[in-house]
Amino acid sequence: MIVVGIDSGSLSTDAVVLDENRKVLGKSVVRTGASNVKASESALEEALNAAGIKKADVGYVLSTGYGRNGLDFSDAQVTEITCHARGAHFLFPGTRTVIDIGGQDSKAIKVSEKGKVLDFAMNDKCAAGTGRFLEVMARTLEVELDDMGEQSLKSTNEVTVSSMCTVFAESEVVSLVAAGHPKEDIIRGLHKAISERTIALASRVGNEPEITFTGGVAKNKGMVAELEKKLNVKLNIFEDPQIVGAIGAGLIALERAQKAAAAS
Amino acid sequence: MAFPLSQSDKFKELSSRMSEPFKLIGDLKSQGHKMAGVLCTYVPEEVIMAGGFSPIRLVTGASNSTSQMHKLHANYCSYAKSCAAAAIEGKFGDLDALIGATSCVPKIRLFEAWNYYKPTPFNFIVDTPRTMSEKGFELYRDELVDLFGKLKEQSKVEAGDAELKDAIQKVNKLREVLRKFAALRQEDNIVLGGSEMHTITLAAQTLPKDEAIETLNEILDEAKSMEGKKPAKRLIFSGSIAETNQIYDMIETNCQAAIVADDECIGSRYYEGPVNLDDGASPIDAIANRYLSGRMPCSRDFGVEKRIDNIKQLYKDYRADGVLHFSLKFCDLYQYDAPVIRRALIEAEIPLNLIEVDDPSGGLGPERTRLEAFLEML
Repeated sequence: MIVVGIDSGSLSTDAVVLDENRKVLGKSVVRTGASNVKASESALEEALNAAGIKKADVGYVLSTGYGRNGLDFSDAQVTEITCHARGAHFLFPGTRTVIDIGGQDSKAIKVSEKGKVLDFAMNDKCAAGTGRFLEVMARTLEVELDDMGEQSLKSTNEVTVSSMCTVFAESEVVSLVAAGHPKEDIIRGLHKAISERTIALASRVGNEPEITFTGGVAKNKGMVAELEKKLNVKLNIFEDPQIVGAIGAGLIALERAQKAAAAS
Repeated sequence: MAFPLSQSDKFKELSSRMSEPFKLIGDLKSQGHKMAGVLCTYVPEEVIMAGGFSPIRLVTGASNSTSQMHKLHANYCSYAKSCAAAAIEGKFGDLDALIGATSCVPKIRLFEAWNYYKPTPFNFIVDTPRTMSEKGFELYRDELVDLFGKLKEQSKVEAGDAELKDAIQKVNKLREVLRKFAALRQEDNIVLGGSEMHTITLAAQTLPKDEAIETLNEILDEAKSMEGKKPAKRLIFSGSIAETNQIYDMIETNCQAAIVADDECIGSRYYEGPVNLDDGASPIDAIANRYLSGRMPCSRDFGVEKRIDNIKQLYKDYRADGVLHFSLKFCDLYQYDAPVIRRALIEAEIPLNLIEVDDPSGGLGPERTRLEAFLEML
């Protein structure tokens, strides 16, 4: 039994191919761009190629993320909240809180011992505190997005970025550069700002350890350092934190496919 | 509009009329009614009717307009902003009166801005107490006496207790019909959900009372003979003002759940509780009593425990799976209550989701995700 989980987000679309032993056979991450349908099709094809599986051999496809609806090859749709909880819990069974910082929103999810969602909080009112915030700032500071974390760890002085809004914070950063503050200090200030917002969000669901950090921003070592310091815990981070939602979708797909097979 | 009643021709016609609120005002004016625009459920229709006017609850359809926001304040709810835009731009037509209440700061400012920029021939704001105490009752009752006197002066009618009693009986009859509709949703299979109920209660508050009673009774008869549909999940909806059906439709059409009971401004706060003349109180006293204490108060009342107890009771009586606490964005009153309600419902092990939106709102993605995730949790 082969299943596919697809997480079609606002910035990236990820696909994961699982077998009946819940092993990841193949995966892909593509930029969503203007068409979630095209991106999902590409992601599916790439993941299947990586797994060496033909599309006809796939038993069940489950989609999640903002672009989960409107995919004609998807057998079911489940929100990314449920999928992230399931994925994180599968990878780290001690997970009781998931913090997911994606491209354009962030979520905190309270998880039961069985991987079920008990409570959740979403920040989708504004992008300050999401991957987009870091992208904008990386561009402003002319730093590679992937280097932002490393740079942050080099900081020796505290700089506070006080603007609540991504766009206004960008202006503030330009002023800080002009005032002579070193890039690393500014970058660390940005990470601090995101971590404060993230923790405020996570506190709404209780922050119970173990806390699993997912989403593209979990690859950022600077963010991880800030969050671990403020939360005073070691965060669980999967080697590929961006695909946790797709893994969760794949696990739910497997359950449903096995249920259907048992019923027939 | 996901439930069987929405397929009825009579209902469809009603729904179509409700979708054009400005046209409705124009039509009623051309029929000779003296239209008094009403901004809040704490404004008593009975007093307006006895005073020679036809009350109409003001809504703006799906406008969500911010074009006159600068004359108010940016941090006001979509209801206040939309009404301000419609009022100042003349879309409400020639209302003969505007009656508001001191419900909340946005509504007070709306009332003031409206009368400053586009004054109606008669306006009155009912000073409404925050707590339903004896002093509060006296304040409110005296306001109603004042309102009644001034309405009569304006419309040049002679009226007294007899006219008030007539109005009371009429509106009581109308509320009774609405309560019958509400009771239908206690069944397992329901004929109408929150979206259909919204259309019906809005019709009761906007059409002339005789017409509303007749039309709604006809639709009720139809409803009683229809086959119901079983919703995937049953939800209680407690909140501020759902000006349009959009939030209900999002839940019921997209997510296959149903709102089986509500505690909301355009909904149950309008029809809960009759005006009681049995204990020999004067009509004005009886009216004041009903509006203040005869139904669930909105969040402006300091006693949030009443709301909590009511939500728990509805959850039980309507065999619900969860509760949606709804506030318009910037509705401080409801948002202040939300954490208290949340703690209480967590303790009672009642699943709760907090929604905060404009009405209508453009951002369907995040709201829909929240609702679907909540339903997946249940």
